[in-house]
Amino acid sequence: MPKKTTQPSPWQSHPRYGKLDLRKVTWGYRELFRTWIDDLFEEKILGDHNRHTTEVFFDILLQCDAAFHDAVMKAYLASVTGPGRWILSIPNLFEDWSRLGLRLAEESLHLSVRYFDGLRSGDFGPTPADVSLAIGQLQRLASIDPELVGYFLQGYPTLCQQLEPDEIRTFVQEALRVFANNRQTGLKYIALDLRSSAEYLRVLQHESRISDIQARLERLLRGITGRKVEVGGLSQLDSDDLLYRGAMVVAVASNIYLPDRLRYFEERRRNRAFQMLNAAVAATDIALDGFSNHHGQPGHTTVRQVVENRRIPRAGEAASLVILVEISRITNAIRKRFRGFRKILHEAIHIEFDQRPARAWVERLLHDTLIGYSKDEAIQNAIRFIDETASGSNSFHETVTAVQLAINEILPDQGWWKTHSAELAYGIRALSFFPDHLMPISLSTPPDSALGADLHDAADSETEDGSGEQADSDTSSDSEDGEADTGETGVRESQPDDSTPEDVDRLAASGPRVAYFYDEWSEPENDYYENWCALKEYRPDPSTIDELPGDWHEEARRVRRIFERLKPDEARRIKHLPEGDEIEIDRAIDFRMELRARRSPRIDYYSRPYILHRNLAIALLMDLSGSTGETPATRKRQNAPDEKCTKRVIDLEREAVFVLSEGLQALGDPFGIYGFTGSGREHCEFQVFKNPEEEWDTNCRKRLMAARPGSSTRIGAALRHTAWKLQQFPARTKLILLITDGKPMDSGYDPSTGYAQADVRRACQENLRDGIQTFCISTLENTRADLDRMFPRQRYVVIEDMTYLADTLSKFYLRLTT
Amino acid sequence: MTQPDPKTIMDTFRVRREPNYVPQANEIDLFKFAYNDNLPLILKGPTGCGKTRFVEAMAYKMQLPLVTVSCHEDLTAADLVGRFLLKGDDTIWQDGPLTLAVRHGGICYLDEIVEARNDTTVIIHSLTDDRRTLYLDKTEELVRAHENFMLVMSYNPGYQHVMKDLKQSTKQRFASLVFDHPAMDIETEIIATETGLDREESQRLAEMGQKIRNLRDFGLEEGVSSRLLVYAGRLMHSGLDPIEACRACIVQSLTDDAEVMASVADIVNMFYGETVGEEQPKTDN
Repeated sequence: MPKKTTQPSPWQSHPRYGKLDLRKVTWGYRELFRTWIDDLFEEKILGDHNRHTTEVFFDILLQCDAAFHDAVMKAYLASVTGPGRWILSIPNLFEDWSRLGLRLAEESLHLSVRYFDGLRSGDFGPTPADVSLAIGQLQRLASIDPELVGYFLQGYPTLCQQLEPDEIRTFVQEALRVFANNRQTGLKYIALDLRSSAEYLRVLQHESRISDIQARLERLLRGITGRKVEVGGLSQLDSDDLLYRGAMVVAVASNIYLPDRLRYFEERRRNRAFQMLNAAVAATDIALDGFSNHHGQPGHTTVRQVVENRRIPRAGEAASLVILVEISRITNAIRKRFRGFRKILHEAIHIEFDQRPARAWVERLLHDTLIGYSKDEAIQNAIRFIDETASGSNSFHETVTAVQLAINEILPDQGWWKTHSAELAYGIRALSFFPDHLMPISLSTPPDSALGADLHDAADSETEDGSGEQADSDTSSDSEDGEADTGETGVRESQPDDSTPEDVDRLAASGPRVAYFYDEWSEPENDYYENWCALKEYRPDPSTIDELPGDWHEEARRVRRIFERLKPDEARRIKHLPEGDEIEIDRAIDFRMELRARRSPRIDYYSRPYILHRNLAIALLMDLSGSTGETPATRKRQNAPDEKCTKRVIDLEREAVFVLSEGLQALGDPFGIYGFTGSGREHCEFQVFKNPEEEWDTNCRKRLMAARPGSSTRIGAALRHTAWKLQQFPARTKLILLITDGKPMDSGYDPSTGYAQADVRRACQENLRDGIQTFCISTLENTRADLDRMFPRQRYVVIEDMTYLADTLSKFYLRLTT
Repeated sequence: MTQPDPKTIMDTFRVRREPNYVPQANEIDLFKFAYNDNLPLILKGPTGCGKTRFVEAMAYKMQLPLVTVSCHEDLTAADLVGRFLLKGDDTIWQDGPLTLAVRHGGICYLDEIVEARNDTTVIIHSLTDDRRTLYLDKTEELVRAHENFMLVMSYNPGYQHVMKDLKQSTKQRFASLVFDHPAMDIETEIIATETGLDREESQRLAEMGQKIRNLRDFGLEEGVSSRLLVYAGRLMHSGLDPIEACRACIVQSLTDDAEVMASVADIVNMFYGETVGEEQPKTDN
């Protein structure tokens, strides 16, 4: 029952919250509303301690137009004072939820009331993740057609109960496809009012999708092969041959393509197991140097082409025989080594021949080869030959050689070959669980890396000329101001100097940039090229973007909390002091004993508390090359929001650096933030977002937001300059964390010599001599061998997926320094 | 005041039973040469690859006492060299583990030396060059190393940490022996002899270990150690289901990241499971 009171509530006298005038509310609701709001203040859910949430709360109430004030406000207040009040403790979620409700209210009063009621009645699901997912989908639907929202709310409780988050997104996608074809059907579909939508719901619960298990599969395949193997859906391949052959598994050039969705079984876990088997079979074929290791390379379009190139007589028969031997070799290896795949392999063989029974002799041979048993004498003899050849072979090419020898010398005398070999000429059908070796694939030769870089640069410069963004102005100022730099500011020779960051700021603000020359190491010459790289340093203008993305703050808060928890670890006691706050009893006894032994011991048994300063300075160095303007190759991560997949590498870098910076601020470690790009040795660019001695303030944040992709990656000069920047700052331990998405790549680099890698290594060694350690966070663009070469003593970490960067960077930093 | 018999003390440090050690290369010969030439030795290698076991095996083979010190950041010089103790009305000097080995002969093994503070590690410098002496400032005694004394240290260079590393002045006083995860046939032998599993099962476990090590730097900070494979093997030999044994000793020990854990579990299932990928379906909650 609402409390009757004539006294105004404390919040009504607040300068901000008091703007809510309850006199505008219908008389009958006034006390009810006031009581609800009072309760939230009394329970400390709202108030100055929870300022952001409270401001959003009143902001929503104030924006409700008088026309629908009561109804919407009542639903809104009822939802946050009832079972859904937990949402007030999650500020970002609360804000998103509230603002969407307000937006819906502008469309339809009824829709908004229903939306707010959804939280109270638990229709959005029991957890914050469920609610967050619902809000994301509702925002999407509202932007397409607000009417979709009401229908979606009708079906959402069922969706939430029966589907995983990714499946709900897939369902919505499908519903929108139906909606695009027919509005009314689409509305019923999303409300689950159609049998077809219920059936799709069932299918979603059962099917296994490659996108859901891609990362997991790739790790498994890395385990099997010891190298990176990418997994993709067959839909990525555009080939008539795929349809013609009916291939279900294609393995080519360390890529394995599998059906995007699998629905063989009623249970998803079995469909998933089948997909994993397909991937593991292809990976085993790669690991055991089967045809999948060569498929698509010159002369390896199909197995038949290899056989023809070897001039083996009766090429069609020989190719089939090679494939049979290889199938036997690989499946036997899987049975022998990977016990976990035996059962599903057995089932796969059954499904294969249940769906498409073996009728021709060659198909029966294929079937019996797979099960290792036959009643047919000719097939028994053929299997014996196939098994013996398979057990003596260690690779595809050994198999081809063995078959060639057999066709020339052994097989002509064997009965089964005489009577049935002609049937082998028809070829071996594509199996549903084995890579198809007869599907024609030709890989184009990759362009030379240097040529690729040149083309990339050319493309970049064209874009810059046309777009006129910041990169454009930067580039033009390079070319136009370059001479002026030399003349007006005096280009500094090599390791400078007495310029302070303030000087740099001043110069940058007045237009021209400060230039530095750095030597570069040439491994072939075994000497430095003196003053080889001209590096121009400047501070980008702070971005005009005022608001940082909300999820950045969320992640930053999480990291800040973790970093803050480290602080108590830094509080230690200093022991062995001649004077202090407390006596260390063990040391005091030692002292007494030494005194008794008639020595003159030092008094060192006092201790006192001491906050250990980490005495560490760090420079975060971001690669701002052209490739950072692209979206990274991502792996589906459980519960990852969809939007991450659309972010560019530069966005992910900025987010990661922002998040780590928030943590470093909490920890008190001084840090600088820099970026580098350039175009050739004459135009190395070095951007200063923050120096270690500066405060991490709004300007620094905005400067970071202004980071833009440039052109090339010349790491050596950037590392040397960053080291010089760090040297200006007093700290005992100094650390550079380089974040890069690619190899060092710039004009003049010859990839065949490893020149760039050698220079990076040299720069790291130079830095180490100056007491500065260099670590790198790299994507898989750099091979392990290259990273070993560039960053000796395992001073690097490889991340599979750039979307993990924010998380990885902070964890890596903690691992390095705590 | 009766001092304990040094021989008795050092006898307590002898390795009684021959440790099971399977050589990986020529490390046994190298150790013997280093010992004969009075060279200190540093063993580098990843966690659980057999460094400590090797030192134990060598101590047994050469009939030398083995004094092991596990280093930590509060380890003081006194903890190594010794201190005065009260005994009744007397004050007696008690040799620390390092002084014991120096005075009476034996191997002093400083395990995970990077964990010790730099000022502590400096006291070993005079023992690691031609002087082979240890100065005890509290007793004003210069202890010359026994002819059977040998200093051995271990550390894991893959341990990426900017605050903890050996100083060059320490590193460059030692001959080095680099260990790595053993090759598959050697690891099979290790597992078979340590666990009692038959050769086929041991090989399966070793092969699984190699596959898991392929995930290093791709989710895993370090590959699975031989020690963990042996633990899993022991549980399996005792009758525990292989999947359970591997889950307890390997999957859950290697990482806390749920996704990487699932990938390691996939590899385990591939070798020991009924069907890879067939986990229990998600419950409604």
